[in-house]
Amino acid sequence: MLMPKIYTENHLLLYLYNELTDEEVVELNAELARNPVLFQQYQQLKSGINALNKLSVEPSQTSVELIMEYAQKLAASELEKV
Amino acid sequence: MNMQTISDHELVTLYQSGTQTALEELIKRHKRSIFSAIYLLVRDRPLAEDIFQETFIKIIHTLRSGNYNEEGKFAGWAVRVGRNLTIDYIRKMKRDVTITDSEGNGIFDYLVIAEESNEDKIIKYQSESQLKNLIKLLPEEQREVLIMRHWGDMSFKEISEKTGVSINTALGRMRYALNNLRKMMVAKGVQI
Repeated sequence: MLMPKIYTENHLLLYLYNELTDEEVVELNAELARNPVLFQQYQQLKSGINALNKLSVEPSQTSVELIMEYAQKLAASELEKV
Repeated sequence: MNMQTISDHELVTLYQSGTQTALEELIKRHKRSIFSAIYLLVRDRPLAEDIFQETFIKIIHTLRSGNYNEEGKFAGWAVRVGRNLTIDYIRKMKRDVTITDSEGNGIFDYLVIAEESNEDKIIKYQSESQLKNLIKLLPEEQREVLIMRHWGDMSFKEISEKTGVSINTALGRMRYALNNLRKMMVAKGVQI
């Protein structure tokens, strides 16, 4: 008889950062639905990650504008060629 | 058409068919993660701005040439384009890749609250400062993994190779970092 797989917080981290295969995700989703202890651990890790998500560095608005300007010029030059 | 409600995949398709506002929405959605990944590696804001622009120029050409084939996973691909350009630059310049600059400032010194909400700005600023200070209190090896995984978008395998530890050790450090951070936030009453 196969021993049931034991999931740890390491599995949950890989899950939260999208590093599991599709098959592993399906298995872990099923385990989360039936294992309240694991689900609680998942929620705790997720709340930490959610807090980190509120912090980031942003590029300047000038950079964004320069990219859009480049894209528009490129589109216009391609139209001229047609 | 409301660009905010459609998927990245649809935005890519729209941009490829000539809708410039679709590109604008893609930039808006992913600029923070792409820029953070670049900035983390170079630790130089003007240089990070240049590489960020180069990244999108490469993305634009790839999308318009029809060579894009990521099956809807635009975000991960775009961050990889940015990271690869940054690593190429670092190799050319033979810069070291570390998480702090020459004056000892870490990425946290430059982090800002990403999104506006209706909360009072003073409270938000205090929460931001508190959270950054709490992250600085983490043991160095935990803080390093946290930065590499969360803002550097490196996989745990890449982190283990870079830091010379096993994947399980890298995962363990991340786990301790998140759990310690959560406990400190509760103890200090930090809410974000």
